[in-house]
Amino acid sequence: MKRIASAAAALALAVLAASAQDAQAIARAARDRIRADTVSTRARMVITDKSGAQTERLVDQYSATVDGADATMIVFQKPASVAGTRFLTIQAPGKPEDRWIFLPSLGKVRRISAGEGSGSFMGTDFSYDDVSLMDRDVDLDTFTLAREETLDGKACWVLEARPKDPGYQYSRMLLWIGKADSISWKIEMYDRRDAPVKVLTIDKVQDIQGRLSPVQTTVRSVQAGTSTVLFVDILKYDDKIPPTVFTVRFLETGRP
Amino acid sequence: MNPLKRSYPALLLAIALALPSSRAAAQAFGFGTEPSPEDPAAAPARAALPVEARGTLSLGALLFPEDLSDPAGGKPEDASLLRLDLIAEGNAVQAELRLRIGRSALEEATAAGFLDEAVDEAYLRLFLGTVTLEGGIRKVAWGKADSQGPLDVLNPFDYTDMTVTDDLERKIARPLLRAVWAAAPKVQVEAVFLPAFEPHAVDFTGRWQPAAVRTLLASGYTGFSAPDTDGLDYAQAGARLAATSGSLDWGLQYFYGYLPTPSYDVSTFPTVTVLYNRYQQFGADLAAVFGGFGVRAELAANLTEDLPGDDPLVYNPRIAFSLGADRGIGAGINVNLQYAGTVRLLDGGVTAPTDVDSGTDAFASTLTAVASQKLLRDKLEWRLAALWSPSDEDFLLIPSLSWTEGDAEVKLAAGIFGGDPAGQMGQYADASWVRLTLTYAF
Repeated sequence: MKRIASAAAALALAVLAASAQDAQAIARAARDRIRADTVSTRARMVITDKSGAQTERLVDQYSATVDGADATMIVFQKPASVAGTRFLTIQAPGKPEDRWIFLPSLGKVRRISAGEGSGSFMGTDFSYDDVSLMDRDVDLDTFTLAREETLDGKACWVLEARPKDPGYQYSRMLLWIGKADSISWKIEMYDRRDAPVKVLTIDKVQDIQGRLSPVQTTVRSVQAGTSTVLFVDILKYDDKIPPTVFTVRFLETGRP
Repeated sequence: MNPLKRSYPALLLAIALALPSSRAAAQAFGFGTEPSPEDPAAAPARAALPVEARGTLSLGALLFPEDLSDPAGGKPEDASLLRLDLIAEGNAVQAELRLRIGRSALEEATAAGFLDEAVDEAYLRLFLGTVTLEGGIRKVAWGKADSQGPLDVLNPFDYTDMTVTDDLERKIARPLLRAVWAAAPKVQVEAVFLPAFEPHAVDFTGRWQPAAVRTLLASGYTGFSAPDTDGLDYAQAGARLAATSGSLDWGLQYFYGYLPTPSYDVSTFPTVTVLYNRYQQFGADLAAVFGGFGVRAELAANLTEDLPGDDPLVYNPRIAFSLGADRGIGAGINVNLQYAGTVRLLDGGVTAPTDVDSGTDAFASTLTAVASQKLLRDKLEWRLAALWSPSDEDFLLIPSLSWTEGDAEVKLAAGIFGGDPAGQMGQYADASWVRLTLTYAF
C-alpha cells in the first residue's frame, strides 16, 4: 500500500512538474511571440475616472537589446507638466533592473529603486511594472496551468504566475493566453490579500510588419473603479534606434 | 548688471529663428525613417515651428502671518510668475532661452533691467558626435544628492527670497562653457569653464537679511565694499567623470574656484570689505539601490588657501558630506532622508576673535526629511519637508498640498521657521509664510 501511495505521489509530482514545465513554456512562447531587434511606439493613454471624466497622456517608448540587456527609454510628451521627463530601464539577465529618471525640474539624472515600480505610471491605472508586464522575464515567476477555457471565442490556456520576489506588487497573476496565437489576451492581478486589483485586456490587435500586435489595451482598477485605455498610435519594429539612446546623455539632452 | 543677460537672448533667438524646422519635426518620434506626411499619427508631439515654446503661468498670493499684527502691512503679496522656455533645435544644435518673469522683473523700468531679472537661462548646445558643447548662461547640477549637495558647486544660490524652496529655481545661472564627452555608453567626462564668479545672493536690506549682516550694520558699519568679480581674475574651472559600474553610479570631480560664501574684513570701518576665498575641491559621489533603498552619497574636500588654519580672512579647509536614502513604503508614500554637513579642519588655528571661522561650530550638519504621497491617480499630493540643524538647533517645515487636473495645478504651501533665533533657519522665525498658487502648464 505504501509502495502504491509513493508511486501515486511520484506520479502526481511528475504531472505537476510537467504541468509547470508546460506552463513555463507557454508563458515563454507568449513573451517571445514577437521577435524584433527594436520596438518603437508612441502611445496615447486615456484615463477615465469614476465620474467618467477623461484625461490624456502621450508617451514614446523605445526598446532594444543592448549588450545582452533589455533596455527601454520612455519619453514623456504630454501633458505639458511632465514634458521632457525621460525614464530609462536596463534589465540585464539575472540581475535587478536598473532605473534612472531625468526630471527637468531636477536638472539631473537620478537613479531610482525598482521598489517604486508599483507606483502609478503618470497617474494612469498602469504601474511602472505594468508598462513592462508583457516583457517581464519569465524566470521571475513560477507558472502553473490553472485550466483551459474560451475567452471571447478564443481557446485559451489560463496560467497562474506567482512572482518569486515576495516584495513584488502582485501576489499572483492569472493570464489568458490564446492557444492559436500565444497572445496574453487578459491578465488579472491580485494583491497580497489575494483580492483582485487590476484587469488588463487586449481589445484590439493589428498586423504590423507581419506581427500580430496589440494596438489597444485597457487596464481597469477593480477597487478604484477607474480605467486607462492605451492606444498605440505608432508602432515600428526593427526601426533604427542608436544604442546611445539608452544612456545618461540621452536622458539629459534627448539626443542620442 | 549683467551685459551677457542682455545680449545673449537676442543672439539665441536670432539663431533659433534661422534654424530649419524640418529636422526638429523628424526628431519628434524615432531615430530612423522619416515620418510619412500622409500618416497623421506620425505627426510630432512638438509643433513644427522654428521655436518651440513651453512654460507655466502661475497666479499666486503670498502671505506672512506675522505681518497681520502690523496695521500697515498684513496684505498678501503678489506671487505670480510666468516661466517661458523658448527652444529651437537643428541637426546638431539646440538653443534654449528660459525666461522667469515675476514681480521683480516687471518692476524694472528699463529693458536692460528687465532682462537682468527675467532671463533665467540662455544657452546654445552643439552636438558634435560624442561631444556636446554648451555655452551661455546656464544652471548645471553636479553630484548625486537630492538637494544642495557639496559637489553642486557651479552655480551660486539666491537667498534673497527664502520662500523659493526648489533647488533649481534658487540657483543663479552663470556664464559658462561646458564640454561633455560620452567616452563610452556608461562613462561621461565633462569640463567646465566659468569666466567670472558670483557669490550667493544675500538680501542686505529686506525681510531675508541674515543676522550676521544685521549685526554688522547695527555695529555702526555703513555699508559693504565688494570687489568686481566679473573679470578673468575670478575665472573658475572644473572637470568631472561620471560612470556606471554594474549597478553603481559613481563620479569624481575637481573644481578650482571661489567659495560662494564671502569672508568679511571688519578692520576697514565704517565699511565692511567683502572678500572671496579661492579654493579647490576634490569630490566623489555614488548612487545605488540597496535593499530597495535608493542611496546617494557625496564626499568633498574643500581646500582653501588657509592651510595653516590661522588666516582670519580665509575660511579653513573643510570636509563636506551628504548621505541620503529614499524608499517607497507602500500606498504611494515615499520617504526621503538626507544628512549633510561640514567638518572644519585645522581648527586649532582659529584663535583671533575676528577670524571668519570664529564663533561657529567646527562641525555643522543638517538633516532633511521629506515624506510625500500621491493619491487619486496622482491628482492629489501632500508633501512635508523638514530641515533640522542639530548644531544650530533650528528648523524649517515646508508642508504642501496640491491638486492637479490636466495641465492645471492648485497648490497650498507654507514655510515655518523655528528654533534658535541665532540659527541659519531660526533667524527667520518672524518670516514664516503661506502661499497659494494656481498654475497652468503649457
